[in-house]
Amino acid sequence: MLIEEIKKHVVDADLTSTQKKSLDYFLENGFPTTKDEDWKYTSLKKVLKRKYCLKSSDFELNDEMIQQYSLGFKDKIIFKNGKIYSEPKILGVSIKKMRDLIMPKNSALCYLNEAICENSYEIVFDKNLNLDNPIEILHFINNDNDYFLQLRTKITCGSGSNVKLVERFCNIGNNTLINSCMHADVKRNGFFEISKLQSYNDNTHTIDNTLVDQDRDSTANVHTFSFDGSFIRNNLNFYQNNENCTSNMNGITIINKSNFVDHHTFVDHKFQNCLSNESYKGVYFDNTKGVFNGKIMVRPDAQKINAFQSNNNLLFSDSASIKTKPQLEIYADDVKCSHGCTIGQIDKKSLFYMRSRGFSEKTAKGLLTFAFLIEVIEKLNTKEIVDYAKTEIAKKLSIEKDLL
Amino acid sequence: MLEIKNLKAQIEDKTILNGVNLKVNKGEVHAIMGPNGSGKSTLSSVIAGNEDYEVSSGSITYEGDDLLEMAPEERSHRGVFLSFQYPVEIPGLSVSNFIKTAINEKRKAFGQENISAKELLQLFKEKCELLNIDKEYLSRSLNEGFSGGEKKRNEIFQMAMMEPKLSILDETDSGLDIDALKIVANGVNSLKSSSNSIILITHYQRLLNYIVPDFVHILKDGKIVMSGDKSLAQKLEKEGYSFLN
Repeated sequence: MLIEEIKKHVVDADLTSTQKKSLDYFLENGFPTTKDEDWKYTSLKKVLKRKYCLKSSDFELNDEMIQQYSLGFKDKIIFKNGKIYSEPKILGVSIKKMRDLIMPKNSALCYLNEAICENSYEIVFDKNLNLDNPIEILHFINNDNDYFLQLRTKITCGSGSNVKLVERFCNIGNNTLINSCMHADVKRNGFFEISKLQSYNDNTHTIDNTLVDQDRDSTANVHTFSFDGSFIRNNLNFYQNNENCTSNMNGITIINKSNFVDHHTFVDHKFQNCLSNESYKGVYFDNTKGVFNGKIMVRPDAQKINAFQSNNNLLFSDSASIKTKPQLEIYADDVKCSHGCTIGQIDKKSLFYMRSRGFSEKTAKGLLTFAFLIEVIEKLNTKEIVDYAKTEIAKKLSIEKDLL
Repeated sequence: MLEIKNLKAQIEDKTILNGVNLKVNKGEVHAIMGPNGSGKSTLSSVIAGNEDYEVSSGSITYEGDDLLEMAPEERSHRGVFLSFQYPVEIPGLSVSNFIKTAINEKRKAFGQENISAKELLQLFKEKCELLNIDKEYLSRSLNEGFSGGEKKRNEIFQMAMMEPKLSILDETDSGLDIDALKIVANGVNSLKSSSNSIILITHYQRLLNYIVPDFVHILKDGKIVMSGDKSLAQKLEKEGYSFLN
């Protein structure tokens, strides 16, 4: 059992008192099960059945591999099994390895991560730093054995800074379960954006915890692209800790085979005059399963809140399924909140219309699906990201990318 | 070009076409009129290949080949075009991209190269002028938020761009005001040639003042019950369908 493995692993570890406390919490609670409300439709059982090792082994990394996974941005922060491998030299950007890195937590997995992650980093973007181009964060992962990896990063965006990141986990090895915790702390008037490129191989199982703290007048955008990987659970939390915050979440999921994707999002509107905007679209082929749970909390004093949420899904197969649930808890009275979920199939009338104009069934379905997704794509403002999304979408729809 | 013999078709066990016979030669314009529910739209759907309708007997031959054996896209590649009575809206897909892909899908079917950007632009420009369409409209989502008249005009615009051999215009005149009707009719007339044919499906004689048919057929209860020249349409306009009884 993995828990036994964890206990063995920590015997020799030199844990700080914080880490010890977190470990105790984890051991007391264990991995989440389907009895937990937040994990009702997401079973870790199968993923946890493997015999994982927790120790990292070293491996060679060359430019060719980096290029294969990079979208081509000049500045890259590269990690090897969670350990920093290379970093860009940019004035106003610093990366520090941290002994104790305390973050907000949303499940026992975050406690586990806090307890046993050996490579925790804080990336600091100085105040008023304005990055022209996104920085790519590439995590290369390779191990001789099946591997349970903890990643832990804190991103501090100084007040008035403008930070764009692209994050990708690149598993080039065996079966790997990644438990990643990222905490973004966006200071006053800061702008933070991260695009998560979830194009993993079939050996990769990910639990991605992203927690965003926002100060007054800040904006945070998280774009999540879930295209491949056998198991993906995303926990995305925004905490609006002052007035006039904006939180945007966009998601595109297109999966096939027997892959599984779960998006759990949470926006905590604690102060007045804030905005959140959430748009997730999913396309499910074959035997795939999807879960969406969007929780929006509007606290009693958080007046003048605008919160919008939508989750639209297309099912392409009788054996594909999606469970979608909006969860709104509103305790203030002067707010504007909307939510909507849809599940459907490609419209037969549209399909015939297009075929009667000479479109093959495949092209017609592909373009209709792309048209379904375009609302989210149009919200992306980085050419390379749009290009990445189109490439992956075209691949999934078996149509030429030029058509999109 | 097109020969329909004793065509019977049904939808969900309800027989709608009950033995239609029709022959359309190159260069001819045929009008099909008839009361509501007589099967006019079903006939156009069956010719275009809508799989909601089941052909129970009879045949349709197009340029000597069995049309019913062809997939809808193949019919389109071969030059069959249906102007829909109710064109669908596709948010997120622009008019220009839609038409470009339609043209290229046809070219691909014949092993030809994609249309060049220059050629396409020229074609867009020419056909926009023909139908009095503002070029800005090409970047709009297909039919989304279009008025009824704009949708119909968009159908004829597609027809102009795709240069079909056999065009079936299913109630293209409904929803058009008199000015739009004139523009659309002028467009259709200028696309008419000795090598292509048009089937007009309409309720009213009005359209036939602008696009003059060589033949007029009256469809009733799934059968063509009377055929004649354009004077038949005028008679119909005056007397209504009651004279058939």
